[in-house]
Amino acid sequence: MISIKKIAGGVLILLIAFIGCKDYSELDPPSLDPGELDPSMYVAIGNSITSGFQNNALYESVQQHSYPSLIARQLNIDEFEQPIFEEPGLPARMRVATDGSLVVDPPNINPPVNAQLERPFNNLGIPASVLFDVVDQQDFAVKSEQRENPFFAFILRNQALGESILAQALNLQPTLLTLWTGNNDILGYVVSGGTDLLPTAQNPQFFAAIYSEIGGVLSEANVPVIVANIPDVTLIPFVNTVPPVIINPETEQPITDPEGNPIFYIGVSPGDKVLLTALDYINQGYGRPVDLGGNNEPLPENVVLTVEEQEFAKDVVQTFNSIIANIANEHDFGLVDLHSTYNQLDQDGYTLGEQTLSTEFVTGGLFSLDGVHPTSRGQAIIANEFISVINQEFGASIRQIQVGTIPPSIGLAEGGASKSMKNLLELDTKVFSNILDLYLQ
Amino acid sequence: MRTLLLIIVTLLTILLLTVPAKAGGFQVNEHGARGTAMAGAVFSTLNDASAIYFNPGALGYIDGTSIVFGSTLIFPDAKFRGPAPSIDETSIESGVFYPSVLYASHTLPSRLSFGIGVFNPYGLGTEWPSDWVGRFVAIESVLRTFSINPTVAYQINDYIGIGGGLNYVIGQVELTQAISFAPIAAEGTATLSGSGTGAGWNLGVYLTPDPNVTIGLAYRSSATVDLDGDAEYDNVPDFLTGELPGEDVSTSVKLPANLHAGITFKGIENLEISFGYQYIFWEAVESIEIEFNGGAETQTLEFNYSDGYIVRFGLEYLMSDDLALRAGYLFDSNPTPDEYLTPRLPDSDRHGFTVGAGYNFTETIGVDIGYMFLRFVERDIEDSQIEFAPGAPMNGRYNSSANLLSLNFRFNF
Repeated sequence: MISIKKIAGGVLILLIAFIGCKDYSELDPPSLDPGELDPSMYVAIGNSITSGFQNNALYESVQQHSYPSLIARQLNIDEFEQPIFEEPGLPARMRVATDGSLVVDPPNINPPVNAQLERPFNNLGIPASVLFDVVDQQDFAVKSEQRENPFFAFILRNQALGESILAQALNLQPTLLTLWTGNNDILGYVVSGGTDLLPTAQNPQFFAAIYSEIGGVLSEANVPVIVANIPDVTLIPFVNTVPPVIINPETEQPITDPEGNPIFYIGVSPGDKVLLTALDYINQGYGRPVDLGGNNEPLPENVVLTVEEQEFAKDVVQTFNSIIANIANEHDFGLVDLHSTYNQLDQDGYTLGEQTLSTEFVTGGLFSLDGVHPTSRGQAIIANEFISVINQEFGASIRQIQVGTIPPSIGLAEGGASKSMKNLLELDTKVFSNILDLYLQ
Repeated sequence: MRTLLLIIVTLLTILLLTVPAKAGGFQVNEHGARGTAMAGAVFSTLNDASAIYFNPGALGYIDGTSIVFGSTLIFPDAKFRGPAPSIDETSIESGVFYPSVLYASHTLPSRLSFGIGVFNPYGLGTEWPSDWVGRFVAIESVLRTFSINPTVAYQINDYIGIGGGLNYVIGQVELTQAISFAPIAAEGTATLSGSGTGAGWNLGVYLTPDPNVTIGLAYRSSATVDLDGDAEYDNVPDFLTGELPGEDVSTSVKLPANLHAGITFKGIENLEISFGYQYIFWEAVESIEIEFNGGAETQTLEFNYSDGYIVRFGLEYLMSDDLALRAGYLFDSNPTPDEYLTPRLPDSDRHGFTVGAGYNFTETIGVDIGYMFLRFVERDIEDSQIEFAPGAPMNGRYNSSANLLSLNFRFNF
C-alpha cells in the first residue's frame, strides 16, 4: 500500500523537477575575429556620404547608419564619436508627407549636441568637402563662412584639436583609418550641368598631388589605411530621373511628333541627361514650344548634362581612380572599389530576399530623397564593401551587415496637399536647388 | 509599390503556414482533466462521456447518463533569443487560454449509446510585443476552433464496443503583424482575420480481450475548414492605400487526421498502467491556395511538415472508491522543420509531466483535476526561411514551456 506521504513526496520531487526544467542554456554573444586589426581607434575621413548625410540633411537618426558608424558597430567599438546633429538637422531635410507630397523641414542650426567633446570626432566626414579640405589649414569658422557651409566649424570646431581634418585624424592615433573623398571634386560639375568645374577636375595633377601628400603623411605615421575610389557620379538619380523628352501629363507617356518620335525638350539633345533641378524650369514652361504649353525657351545649361559633359565626368573619375589606385598601391593601403560597386548596383540592383533595391529615384531604396546620397541601406552596402577589404587586408573575419535589418530612412511627415506618389516630382521642386547650394562653392 | 505587394504576399504566406502550424504545435489535446492528469494516455481507459473525444468506442460501456464539463487553463511562455548574431531576448506577453469541454452521453440498457461533445480541438495563441524585432513576422496570433461532435456507440459484447460520430468544426483565426513601407521610414500593421466551418468524422473501437487488458483504437478524420477572411491595415500613409492588395481573401485549410491507439493493464490491484500513441497526419496537408477576391493572382503555398506523433504514459491509482491519484508523461514530436519555424508558434518537441486526482463527492457527482508542465526542447534555428527583415533570416534560439491546469465536473446517473 502506497502511503499518502510517499505520494506527496513524489509530487513534490516532480514539481521541483518541473521548475528545474525552466532553465535553459546560456548563449554567448558572437565573438569578433579582427585578425591583425586593432579595432581600438577607428577614424573616418570623407565627405557627406561618410558623415551619413542623406535626404538633403545631416541628422541623428541617419548618422547612426553612416557607413563608418556601421563599421564601428561590426567592430564592437563602443566609443565611436560622431558629431550628433539634432533632428531635423542641416541644411534642409526632405521628407515625404502622408499624402505623397514633398516636405522640406526648416534647419536646426544648433551645433552638434556633443560639441564639447574634448578630442576630435572619429567620424570626420564633412558634407560638401573636397579633397583639398582634408589638408587645408584655414580657420574652420572662416572657412564655414566663406563656403556657406557650417559643417567645417561644427565638426572640426577648434584648431587646437588639429589644424586640418588630417591633423585631427592623426591626433586620435588611429589604428584604422578609412579615407573616401574626392567625389565632390567632380560631383559639383555634374549636378551643375557641367557649369562648375573645380581645379582638381580641370587639372587632375592637383588631385594627384594632394592625394599623394595625404597618403605620404598617413604612411609616415604608420596608420593602417583603407581608401575607397570614386563611383561614376553620373549614375545617381539626380541625373537619371527626369526624362529628356516631353511628357504628356495626362497619359504620362512621351508626346510624339507626326513620325511617332518622341520630342526632346528644347536645349536637350539625344543622350543628354536632364537633372532633377530642371523640374522647376519645366513646370514654368521652359523646354517646351508654345503649342505644347511652354514658353519656347531652352532648358538652362545648368540643368542639362550633355553627352560630352557626361563623358568628361566619367573620364575625370577614371583619372582620379587611377591616381587613388597608384597611391594605395605605393603605400600598401587597402582599396575599396566602390566604382565597381556602384556600377553593379546600377546594373543589377541589390537583392534582399525577394526584393531588389535599385538606383531608381525614391522607390529604388538605394538613394535618398535628394537623389545624390545613399539611404541607410545604401550606407550598409558601402560598409560591407569596406568590411570585405578590411577582412582581406587584416586577415579578419568581421561579419557583414544584414542590409535588410537597417531601417528604411526616407522620412514620413504628417499632412501635406493631396497628391499621389507619382506626383512627387511635380511638386515643389525648388527644394532641389538646396542641394546645388551645397555643391557650388 | 512592388515592395508593399511583396510584403502582403509574405504576410499571407505566413497566415497560411500558420493556421495548421498552430493546430499542430498547439493542437489542444486536453479534453478532460482525467486525460490531462494521465498525459492523455486514456484512449484505452475511459469511464465518462469524455470518451466522445478520446475514443467513442468506449461510450457504450458507460452506464446511464454521463455529463462532463470543465476547462483547461493554459499558461504558455515562450522566449526568443536573436535574431542571430544578436542574443537579445524577447518573451511573449503573458496570457491565459482556456479550452473547454462539454460532453453528454446516455447509454440505453441495450448498450446503444448516444452522445454529443463540444470541445476546442485547436486553439491558443501567441502575442509578442508590438515593437519587437520579429514584428514583421508576427505580433499576435489567435486561433479558436469549436468542434461539435454528435456520437453513436454500441457495446457489441463483453469484448468489443464501437462508436463513431460526425465532427462539425467552426474555426476563427486572427493574425497581426507589422508591415514595412520601405524605403519610406514608416510602419503599419496588418490584421488578417477569417472564419469558417468544416466537417469530418470519427470512429473508435474499444476492446477488452482479457479482464485485465483494454485496448482502444480511434481515428478522427481530417476536416477542411473553408475560411473567408478580410485584411485590415492600420497606419498606412494615405498615398500608399491604393497599393494594398485588397481586403477580401478566402482559402481553405485542411486540418489533419489523427489516429489514437492505447492499451491499459490492470493486473496490479487498484493500479492502471496505460500507454497511448497518437499519430497526426500532417503531411497530408500538402498545400493551400489563397484566393484574392479582388481578382489578384491565386497564391499556392507548399507545406513542409512531416507527420507528428505523441507517445503517452499514464498511471491511475485508486486510493479508495472515491479518490484516484494520477500521473503521466508524454513526448510530443513537432512537425515543423527548422526552416519554417515561426514565432507565431515557437514549436518544438515537447516533454509533458502530469499529475492529478479524481474525487467522487457522491455516487453521481465527481471532480477531476489535472496539472501538466510542458517543456519544449530548446531549439536553435540556423537556416530559417522566415525573414524578419528583407533578406535577414529569423535565426535564433527558442525556449518555450507551458503550465496547464485542467478541472472538470462529472455527473453520472
